[in-house]
Amino acid sequence: MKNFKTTIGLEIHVQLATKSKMFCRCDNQSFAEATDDKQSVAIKPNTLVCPVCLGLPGALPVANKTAIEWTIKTGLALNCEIPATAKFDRKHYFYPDLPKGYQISQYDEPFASRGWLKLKVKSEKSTVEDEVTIRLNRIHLEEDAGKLIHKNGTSLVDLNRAGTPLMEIVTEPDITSPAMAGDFLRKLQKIVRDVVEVSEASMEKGHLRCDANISVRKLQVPSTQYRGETEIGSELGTRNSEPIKMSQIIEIKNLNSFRFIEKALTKAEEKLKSEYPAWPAKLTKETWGYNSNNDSIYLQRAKEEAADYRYFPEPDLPPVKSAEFDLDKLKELTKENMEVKVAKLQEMEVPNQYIAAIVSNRGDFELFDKLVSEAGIEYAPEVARLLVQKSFGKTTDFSDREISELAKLVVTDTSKKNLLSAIKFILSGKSFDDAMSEINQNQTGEDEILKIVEKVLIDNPAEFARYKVGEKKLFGFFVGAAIRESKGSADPQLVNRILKEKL
Amino acid sequence: MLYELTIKSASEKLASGEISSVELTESILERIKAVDSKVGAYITVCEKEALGMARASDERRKSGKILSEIDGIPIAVKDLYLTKGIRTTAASKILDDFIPPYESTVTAHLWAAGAVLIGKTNLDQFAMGSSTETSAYNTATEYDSTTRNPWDLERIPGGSSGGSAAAVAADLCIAAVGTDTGGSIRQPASLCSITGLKPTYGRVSRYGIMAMASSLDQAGPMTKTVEDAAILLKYMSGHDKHDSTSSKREVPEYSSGLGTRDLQLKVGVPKEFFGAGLDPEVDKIIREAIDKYREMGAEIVDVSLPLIKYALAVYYILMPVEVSSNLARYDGIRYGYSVLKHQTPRNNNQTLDEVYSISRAEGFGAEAKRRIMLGSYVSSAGYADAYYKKALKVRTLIKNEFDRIFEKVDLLIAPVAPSPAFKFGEKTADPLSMYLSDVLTVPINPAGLPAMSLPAGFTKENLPVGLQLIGPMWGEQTILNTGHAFQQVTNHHLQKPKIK
Repeated sequence: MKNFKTTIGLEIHVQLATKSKMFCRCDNQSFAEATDDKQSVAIKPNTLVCPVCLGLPGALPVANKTAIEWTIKTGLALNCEIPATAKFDRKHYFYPDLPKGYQISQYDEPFASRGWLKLKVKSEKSTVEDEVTIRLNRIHLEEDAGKLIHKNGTSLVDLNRAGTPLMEIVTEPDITSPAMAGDFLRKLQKIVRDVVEVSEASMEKGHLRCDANISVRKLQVPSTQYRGETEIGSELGTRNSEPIKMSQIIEIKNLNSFRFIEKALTKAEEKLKSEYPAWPAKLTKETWGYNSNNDSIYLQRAKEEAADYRYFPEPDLPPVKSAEFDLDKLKELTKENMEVKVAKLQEMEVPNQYIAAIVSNRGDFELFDKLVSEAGIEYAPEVARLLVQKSFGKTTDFSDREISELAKLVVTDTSKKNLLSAIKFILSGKSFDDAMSEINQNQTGEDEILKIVEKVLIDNPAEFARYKVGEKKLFGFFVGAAIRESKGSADPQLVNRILKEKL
Repeated sequence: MLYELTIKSASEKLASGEISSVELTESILERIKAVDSKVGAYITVCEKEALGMARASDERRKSGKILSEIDGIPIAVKDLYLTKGIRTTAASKILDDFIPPYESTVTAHLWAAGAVLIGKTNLDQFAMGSSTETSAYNTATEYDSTTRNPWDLERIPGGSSGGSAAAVAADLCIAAVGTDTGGSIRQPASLCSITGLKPTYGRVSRYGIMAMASSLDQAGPMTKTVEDAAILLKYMSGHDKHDSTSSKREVPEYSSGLGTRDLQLKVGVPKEFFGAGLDPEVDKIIREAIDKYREMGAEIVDVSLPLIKYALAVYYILMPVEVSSNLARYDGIRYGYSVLKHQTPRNNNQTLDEVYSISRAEGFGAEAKRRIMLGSYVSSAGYADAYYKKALKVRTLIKNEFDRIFEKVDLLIAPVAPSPAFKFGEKTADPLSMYLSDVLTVPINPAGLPAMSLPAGFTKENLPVGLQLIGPMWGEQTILNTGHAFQQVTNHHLQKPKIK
């Protein structure tokens, strides 16, 4: 089974975590889910709705500007072209979760097009990593549909999700293996979540959903028998009993984990290869599902006809001009900017294994940048290592004084323990002074606990002896005794650590 | 009689304390009881609500807290505007039991200004038609028919805002509001001898008005005088954060701009509006109106809009496409007529597709279905390029042609309808002849322009004929000034039908 070439294209839906829905001001449920899981469970069906997302007569959509801005921002981060004008279109089909009988989407003038994303892939031939470029066809914005709930023989509709902003990213068929599809998605998730920060991008919660198309081609083997190309869609191939060179397309829809996507694609790939040379003469497409329980794929819909959605420009929404947005500002977060960051870090001799992690996390990068420019670039590798190992992933405006004090710690605090604690305190909203006094307090606390622990061990010689001969469960006894001795004020974790050292 | 008052005269009498809003409202309710079984203007008369709103208005007036000059004025509303808690049908069986949970922006403005809702008027189903005959409601109970023209009960009132036009003409309200997608305010205004203004697209919010063709629909006033149209338009207009196509332009004090009788403006007479098919009597009445304007000092020039001949074709492609999309939400799932509500033991196991198709087949009338099919066809794959996309291009050309004309003239003057009101059933068998009756009003909507119909005279059979004033974008003030000037020197608008 050699000389097969696999072609995979992906369509990725990303729910944007805006405050309100795409075309009305109802609470955006994906955001509610992202912020508070318990709350989302308590949201009753059809309570986050209004005339607009219910599709009542006379209701009109008003576009969410933040969602548009975030889509453009994502486009810029993915090296897309941002056209001067974009517009919304209506996509028509009937389904109970689609209240208006059409979905407001974008047809021929999306907010972003023709981008790319580079991926590192392991070469088959050597240990060196190759770089491949996955081209992106487009990024457009649309509204999500509601949810159908099938219960006791009845079907119910919950429209809380209807109208959630949904960004659709469509790749070109540049992906050549299931593993590469997984790598692409992981990188894309990182970008939308950590670089442009437009979505929690959790696959489990349905913030990020992926449809994958896969087909397999048989590469040409030089042959004297061969008499020219066999056209897809013609029946020439079968009549002349020459092998058809391309399989059907299998689409796998709504997969909710990276691992399942890779597994489902692997199964589909195996299936298509195994069917050679009996590939259908006419290009066909089937939809298959994936069963994770027994790692198998199953047919959902055979031979799909291309649906006619009768797209036409949404008359209720004026076209959107990109000039309404500050593209330069949005561009700060683009790949171009990322490359500048990477170059900067390389110049500072930050080890390569830290660079990617630092630049893909805005909060960490900002802190790194400030600390190093204050403390001196000779500390760059060390600060980078620290921040990657202890990624804070949070953005805060550090004051100049805080930065200069933190930078002092970079230089003086050899163990970096106090530095990390100080950063943690400041990120939690405390001032540097408070942070330092708390750290100092903790230090005195440490000394006191040391005394308490020593006292506890001296006061309980029998237990100490039993522990030493192997009765390890007495550890808890000492912890309890120490905390009692401190009248409950000692930090149990600290007590644990010090006790361990002493014992 | 009080019901004969205009907004202007009623508001003066209310202000002076000569009458109360309750008296005015009761007068109209009595008039409705007396003649509406013949005219059939209303689908729903809101007696209880009206009297409640009138009492509240009188209370405000007593405590010196009136909200506006239209406080206490009874207004009829086309049954296409959603009124919270009050059945709104679009004259279609598919919404027979629909009680809106929210209020349209325009009516909300009116009630916020203190106006009184007198009732919901009949219309062609989903505003599709030119005679009100496509309504599912035989509101003229005495004849078991749709709305009748107060000037001749054997004839249709025009459409689609036929109920609103008949209500104003027969003094069944002080003023009314309608909508105009291809002439639905102007044509019935012309046929019923009232004043009807279709504002510039974007002047008035469309939120809460059932969409027919979203890029063409525009709500407007239907009144007894131009002066009233100016007053009512002010309260209807303005930017609405719920309608992205509504304009942020400031709303002028239209009525304070009225008054001049000297018309220092250039009026174009587009020859294409006076072509074959125009009833000779209508032609004569409009020419006389033009002469009147010349006497008043306007400069009259002949102009030509050669692309106008394509406007009807463009309209009957674009409009049905938007109709087919806008009516998709009436699917029998969430509200309105549904086969699921009418199941019998023998017939209770429909598939999803059957729920859709049976609910829609039984709920929609023939004209709605015709336009859904037309629209679906011309926008489907393989046909969209030849029809829909081409029509969009021609629409732009037509708009550009109007823009060029308005560099040369201030206004255009034309007939509204090629003939006076026709008889019931005359055109229902031949949809194309019905569509052709819109030929003089339809071109305005794809261009987004404002236009007004006002009474210009009567035929020998005493049938009203309207005059159409067409302005450039945002030219409402010029149209209203020019129309008001005409009503200062003519009395056609003061004539009343004798309802037998």
